[in-house]
Amino acid sequence: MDRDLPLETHLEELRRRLLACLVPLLLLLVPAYLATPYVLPYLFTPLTKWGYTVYLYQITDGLMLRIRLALLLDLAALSPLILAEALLFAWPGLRAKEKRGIVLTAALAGALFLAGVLLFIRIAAPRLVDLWQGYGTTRDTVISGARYYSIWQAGALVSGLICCLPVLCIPARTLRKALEED
Amino acid sequence: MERLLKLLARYRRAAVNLALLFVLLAAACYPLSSYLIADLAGLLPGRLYQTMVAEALWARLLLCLALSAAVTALAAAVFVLQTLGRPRALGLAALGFTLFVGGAAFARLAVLPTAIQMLSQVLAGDYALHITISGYISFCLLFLLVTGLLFEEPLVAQVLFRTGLVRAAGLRRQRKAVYLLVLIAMAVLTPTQDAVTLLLVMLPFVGLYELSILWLALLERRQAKGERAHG
Repeated sequence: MDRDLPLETHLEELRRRLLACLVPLLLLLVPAYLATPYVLPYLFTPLTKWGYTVYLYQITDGLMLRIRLALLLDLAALSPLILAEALLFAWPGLRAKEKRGIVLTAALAGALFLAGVLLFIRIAAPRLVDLWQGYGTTRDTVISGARYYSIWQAGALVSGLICCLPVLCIPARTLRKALEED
Repeated sequence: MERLLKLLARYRRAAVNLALLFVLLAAACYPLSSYLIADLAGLLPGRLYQTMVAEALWARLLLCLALSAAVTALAAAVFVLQTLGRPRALGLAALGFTLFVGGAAFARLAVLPTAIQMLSQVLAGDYALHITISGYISFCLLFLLVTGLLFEEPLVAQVLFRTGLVRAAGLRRQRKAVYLLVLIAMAVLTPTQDAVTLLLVMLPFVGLYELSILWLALLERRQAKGERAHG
């Protein structure tokens, strides 16, 4: 799309691209919800391997846990599409140099974010549970599934973002250069 | 100035009276709360647990405060309507209260048992269910409150009509979309294989929606008549 097009056309394109993201998100939510009972045991493996029982303390915990995980799976599966739509929307307004920079940044940031999340799931979360388990061996431990999931989700997100940090310097440098050229 | 002072004194008196009413009602409801908790706990397949020392006391207090708040809201509505110079203030407030109680009773008898059965079965086979008393009572109260408020539909429609936001024709146009939304909400809240049960659960909401349309049509006719009479 040309940058000289009127505002209405840009808004129309934004609407089209938002719909292109929202419709698959909604459609994929159903299979993601159905897949959650198979994914949850994997998330709770660090706990169950020590023999802990996972409890649901609120009447809505089971449903909310499934919905939250389904949304996460849904977003994770469709993140390339969402990223592509965002890039395509911004594409006509970028200069050649910025286009190269942004594609490189997006690809690297995506890969590093994924690596950070996997690092947390595979290594950090089980190690943290092992470490924490060492402090509670003399007491009976009851664990809330919903709270564990909240901590797990926040941990995975933070780990992914920390791994992304070095790459985020690239757009900052490109932006500074662009401003200097102007 | 003197009139303003009188008005402020009246509001002050009303606020103090309402606060007193709220506290006294909450205290009066306390002995009743254990029966209500037992009634709500009976819907759950399993026991309720305390995870903190004063959790059961908090749950009882929460129930008392909720019951007291509902009656105090009725008294406050009467006062506000009288202040606004509305004729039949008591009748309107009583209608609102009756609709609210009807909605809450409908939720308790028809929707809540099925909803709790359904919610307690999600993931229950894989994980242990230890429902805390305060969380459970809060959930039930919220459920009853929301359904009670949904039953205020005809009164809300009237208020929106007075402000010029809603017309009977507009409600008629949105009928299909509203019915679909109600159907989806009820199917999620009370998942049943039986279509008749689902329709029975939907019926009060649909009935109230139709009642709102008829009520607004009547109000429109009256308004048009009044305008013609005034030339």
